[in-house]
Amino acid sequence: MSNHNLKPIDKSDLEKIAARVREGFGRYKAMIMVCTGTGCVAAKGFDIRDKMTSEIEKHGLQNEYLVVSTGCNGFCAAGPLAVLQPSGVFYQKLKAKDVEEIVEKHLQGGQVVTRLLYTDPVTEKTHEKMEDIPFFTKQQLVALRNKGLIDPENIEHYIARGGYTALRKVLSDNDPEKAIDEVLASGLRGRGGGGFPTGLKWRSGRKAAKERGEPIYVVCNADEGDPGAFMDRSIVETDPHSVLEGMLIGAFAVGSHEGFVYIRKEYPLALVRLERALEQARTMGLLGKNILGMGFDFDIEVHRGAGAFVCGESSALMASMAGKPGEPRAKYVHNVEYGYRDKPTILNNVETWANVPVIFEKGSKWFASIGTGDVSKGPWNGNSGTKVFSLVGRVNHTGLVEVPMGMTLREIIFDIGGGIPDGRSFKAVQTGGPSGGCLPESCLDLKVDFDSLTEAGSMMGSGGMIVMDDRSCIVDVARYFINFLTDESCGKCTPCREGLFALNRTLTKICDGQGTPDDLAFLEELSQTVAAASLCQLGASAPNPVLSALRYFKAEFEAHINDKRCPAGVCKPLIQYGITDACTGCVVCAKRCPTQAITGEKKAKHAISSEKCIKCGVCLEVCKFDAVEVK
Amino acid sequence: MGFFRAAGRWAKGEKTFGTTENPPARVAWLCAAGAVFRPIIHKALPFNFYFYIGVKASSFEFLLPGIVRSFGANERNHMHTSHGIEKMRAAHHILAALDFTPAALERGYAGRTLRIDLSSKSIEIRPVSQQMKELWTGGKGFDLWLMFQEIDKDTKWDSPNNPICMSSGPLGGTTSFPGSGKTLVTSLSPSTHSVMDCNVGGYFGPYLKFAGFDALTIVGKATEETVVCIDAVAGKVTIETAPLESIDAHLVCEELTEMYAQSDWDRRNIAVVAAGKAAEHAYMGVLNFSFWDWRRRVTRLKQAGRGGIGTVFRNKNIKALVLRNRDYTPSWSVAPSKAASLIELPASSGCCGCPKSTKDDVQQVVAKWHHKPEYVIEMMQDIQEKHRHISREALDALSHATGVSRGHLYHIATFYKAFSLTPRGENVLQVCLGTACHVKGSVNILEAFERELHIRRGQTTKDQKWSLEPVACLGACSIAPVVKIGEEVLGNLQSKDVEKVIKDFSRNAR
Repeated sequence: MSNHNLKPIDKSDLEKIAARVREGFGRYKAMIMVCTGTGCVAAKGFDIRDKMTSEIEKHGLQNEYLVVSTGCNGFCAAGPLAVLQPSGVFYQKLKAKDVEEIVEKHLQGGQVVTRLLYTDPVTEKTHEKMEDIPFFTKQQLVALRNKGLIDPENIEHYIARGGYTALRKVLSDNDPEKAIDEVLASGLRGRGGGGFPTGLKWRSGRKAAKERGEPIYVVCNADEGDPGAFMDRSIVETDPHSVLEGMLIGAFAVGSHEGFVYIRKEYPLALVRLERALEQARTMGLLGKNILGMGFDFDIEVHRGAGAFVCGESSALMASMAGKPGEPRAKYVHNVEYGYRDKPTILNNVETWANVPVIFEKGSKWFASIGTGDVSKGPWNGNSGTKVFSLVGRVNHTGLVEVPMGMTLREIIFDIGGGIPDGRSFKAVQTGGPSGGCLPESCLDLKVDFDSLTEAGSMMGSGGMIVMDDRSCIVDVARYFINFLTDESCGKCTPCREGLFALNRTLTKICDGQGTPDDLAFLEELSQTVAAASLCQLGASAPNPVLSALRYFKAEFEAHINDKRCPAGVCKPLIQYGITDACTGCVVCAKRCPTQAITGEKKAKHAISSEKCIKCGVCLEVCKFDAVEVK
Repeated sequence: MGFFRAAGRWAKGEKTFGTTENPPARVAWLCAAGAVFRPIIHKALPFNFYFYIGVKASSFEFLLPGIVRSFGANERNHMHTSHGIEKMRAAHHILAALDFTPAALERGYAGRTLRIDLSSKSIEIRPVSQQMKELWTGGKGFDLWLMFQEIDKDTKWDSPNNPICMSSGPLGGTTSFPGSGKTLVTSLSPSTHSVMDCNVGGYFGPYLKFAGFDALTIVGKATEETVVCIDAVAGKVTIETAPLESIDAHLVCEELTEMYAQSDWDRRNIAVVAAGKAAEHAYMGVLNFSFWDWRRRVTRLKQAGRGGIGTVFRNKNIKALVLRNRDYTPSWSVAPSKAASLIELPASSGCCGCPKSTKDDVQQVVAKWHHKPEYVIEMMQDIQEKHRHISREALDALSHATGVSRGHLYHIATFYKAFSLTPRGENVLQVCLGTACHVKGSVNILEAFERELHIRRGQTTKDQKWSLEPVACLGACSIAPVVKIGEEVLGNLQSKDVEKVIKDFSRNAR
C-alpha cells in the first residue's frame, strides 16, 4: 500500500480506522491470504500471489475476493500456501497451474479442491480447514497473534486487529511505574535465551537513568545469529508493528525517547518490511513528536548487522551499533546501566517486544495464566506466556510453532511436528542453538521452559529446535557447533579463542577415526575450563553441545574411537558406500558419479570403487531402488 | 680495563654475580662483554659520515617511479581535519617542556642523551663522555650503562626507577651496514626479572639520532596517560597528557602520525613507539615502533618483542613516544623510469591516489548516512554492495570522510563476515550451513558446488562470475538445505541438483 493516503492520527482515530478496514473486508466474500514468508517466497510464493490476483481479475471476481500477501504462516513444510478467510480453507504446496483450478472450481464454482488440501502423513486424514490440522490445533498464538491474518506492509491491517490500542492505554494511564508493574506481574521473561525478567530490566534501567539524569535507550535485538532459528525473522516479516508497539510501550515505561533496531543484513525481506513499517508509523504520527497527540516523543532508527554471531551478545551488539567491531566486554558492567553510548540501555529481543502489547491489551493476569510457574512467588519463578520455536530438521512438519510454556518436547515434536519422516526413528533434539545441547529420547517428556531445559544440560535459547533422526551423527553435530563457534569467536579472550580451537581439533580427530580413549576426558576437562574462564556468554556456553553430547551419547563417541565406526553413517573417513542386490543396473548412478567410481554393465549389479569414491552421496540420492547403502 | 675491575667489585660485593637477583651486577657483566667488541666496532668507524645519508636511506622510496610522480600532489598541505584527531589534540595538556637545538653529529655521536623522568615530570639533556663512547660502544652498551646508573639492587621491573633505554648506536641511521637502522631497547624484564635487551626496526632510533640524541632514558611513572613528544622541527621535548588516544598500538600509532604530521608528505617524518592493551595484562607485552609505509599508505609496526618491555612501558602509564623528524627535501629529482609506464598505477587525482569514482561513491555513501561515524558499518555495506569489495582506496576515502582511523576501519572490514577485501564475483552463491541445513546434508551440497565451479569455499571463479560462500544461517531453516544466489533463495536442495542450478542460473543470466 502506498503511504500517501496515510495521515497523522490522534487517539480517537484508531477505532475509526479499524471499523473502516473491517467494513472494507466485509464487502468481500472471502479474503485469500497468500503466504509470503521467506519459506514460501523461496518456493515462488510471490508468483502464486500475482497469479492469484491476475486470475481473479480474469474471471471478473475482483469485487468478491481480495488477495492479501501475509507474513509467514508458520507451516513452511506445506509452502507455498494460501488460506481463505474467514472460512479457513487451507491450500498447500501450490504451483502456478493450481491457482487456475482454485479460482475456477472453488471461487467460481464453490467446490473445494480436495487435491490441494493437507493430508496428515501419519493418520492419512485430509483436513479442509486450517484449524483442524494438528500442526495448528495445539498452538497458542500470542506473539504471532496476527500471523496469516494481516498484510505486514499495511499499518491499517494491524490497527484493524486492535493494534496500537495498548499503547494508547499506557499513554492515557500516564504512569510509567504502573506499566512496569504490569510487565512484572505478567511474568514475561526475555525470549532471547537468558530468560531475564523483562520488568526487572526495565525497572533498573529507569532507575539508572533517573539517578544519573541521563538519556536512556531502548533497543530491539533482531540479530538472530543462531543457526537453525528464524523466529525473530518471521515476527518482523509477519507483524512488524507489534514489535514497534512493544518498543513504544517500553520506551514510555522507562522514559526513553530514542530507540534502535539492530537487524541482520542477511534478512533482506525483514529489513524492507521493518523500514516500511517505521515509515508508515511515522507518517501516522505513531512515531516522532507528540505520539497520538498524547505528548510522548519517541523515534526508532535501524542499524544493520554485518554477519557476526557474537553481535547477538548484548555488549557486542552495542559496540557494533556504535560502528565498532562487535567485541563483547566483561559482564560485570550491565547494559541497563552503561550500554549504548555508555548510557542506560534496555535491550530485548524481537519476540519479547512483540509480547508486550498483548500484556496491556489482555492484562497481566491473563498472560500469567498461560504456561507454568507462579509469578507471584517472584519474577524469576515465572514461566508464563508462550514461546515461539522454529521446529526444523528431520521432522515432518517443519515450520514455526508457538506453544504455551511447559508443553513437553514430545508434544511439540510428535503432535505438532508430526513425527519423523520416512519411517525413521527419533534420535535427539537440539535446542538453544550453539549454546544449547542435544537431548535424547529419554528427555522427551521434559517440559519446555527456561529452567527444566537448563537442568537437562541444554537451554531454551532463542527457540531453535532441530530434530535429528538416526541418520544424524551426534559427534559430527558437536563438531559442527564447535567449528561454528571457533569461526565466530571474536578472539578477544584466550579461553574461548584457543580452547574452542583445541576442542574443534580433538572432535575432528574423533570424526576422522583418529581418536583415542583419552580424548573424552580431555574434551570434558577442556570444556569446563572454557566455560569457566571465558569473558562473555558465547564462550561460557560454547562447550554445552559437547558436554550434553558426552552426557547422553557417550556410546556414539566410543563407537568412533574404539570401533572406528560412525553408526549414523555421516563421518566420511569412517564410512563406505556400497551397492546392494536391489540394484537393477539402470546406470543412473554411474552417469552421475562425479569421480566415475561406479562401474557395471547395463542391467547388471554395479560396484563402487572405494579408492575413487569421494563419498559425496549423489548416488544415494539418484538411486530409485534404494540399492546404495552406507556402511 | 678499569671497567672490568669495577665489574669485579660489584660482583664480589654482592655475591650474586650474574643472577637475576641483582640487576646492577648483571648490567656490569653485560657491559663488560660489550667492551670486548669495542676495538672491532671502532675500526669499523673510519668516516666522519654525514647523517643525511640516513634520511635518504629511510626515504629510499624516492627511487620508486610512481611515488615521484605523485610527489607534486603531495607537496600541498592537504591534511584532512578529522574531528576525532582534533578532539584528541585538544585534550592534550602539557606537563613539562624543554627546548633544544638539534645537534650535529660527529663520528656517529651527537654527544648527548635525553633523560625523561615521568614521576618528577623533568626532562634533562645529559652529556656523553669520551669514556662512555670508548667503553660502552654501541646501542646496547649505551643502554646498559644508562640503565646501570638508574637502578639499584632492589629495583624490580615495576619499580619507578626501572628505566627503559633506547639507543641506536653510532652506526644508527646510516646505510653503511645491514641492521644499522635498528634501535636497541633495554629494561628489567617482567617475565624474567632480569636485564633484557631487544632490537627493533622502525624509524624511531635513527630519528632520535638525527634529532641529536644518542640515547633516551625513561624513568618514573606518570600519574595519568601520557605521551612524550620529541619534536626536532620545533626543537622541543614535551610530556603531555593524552586521555583520548586509543590504547591499541595499531590505532594509536596511526592517530599520532596523523596528529603530528603537517602534511601527507610529512607522515614519513613521524615515528611512534607504543604498546597496547595486552601489554597491560600479560608480562610479555611488546613495544611497537612505527614507520609510515609510503607505498602501502599505512602506519606499519615493528616490534621490540622480547622480555615484555611493552609491559614496563604501559606500567609507566605512557601511551606513546612520538618523534617528529626534520623534513628533508631532496635537491635532486629522478626522471620517471620507463618501467613506470608499464606498471598500472591508480590515477593521482585524489588526495591519496585513489580513483575519483571510488572517492565520489564513498562521499555519496557517507552523505547518505549523515557523516555519522556510528554508521560506518552501514556505509561499508553500501560500498561493498556497489564495488563488490572494500578496496584500499575506499577505506582511505572513508577514513578521510568520517574521521575514523584506517586501522579501525580495517578492523571492521576483517571482523565482519559481510566484507571482502578482494572483489567478489557477479553472483554470490551462499550455501547455508545452519544447523537444520547441516543435519540435512548441506556439507555435501557445498562440496558439490566446489566441484561444479572448480573453486574452494570463499573463493571466486577466474572469470569473476561466481563466488562461493558458506554462511552461518539464512533463516530459512524450514526448507533446509538452502542456498541463496544473489537475492534468490532455493530450498530443499540435494547435491544431485547442483549441476542443474548452476546451468539454469547461467542460462538465465545470459
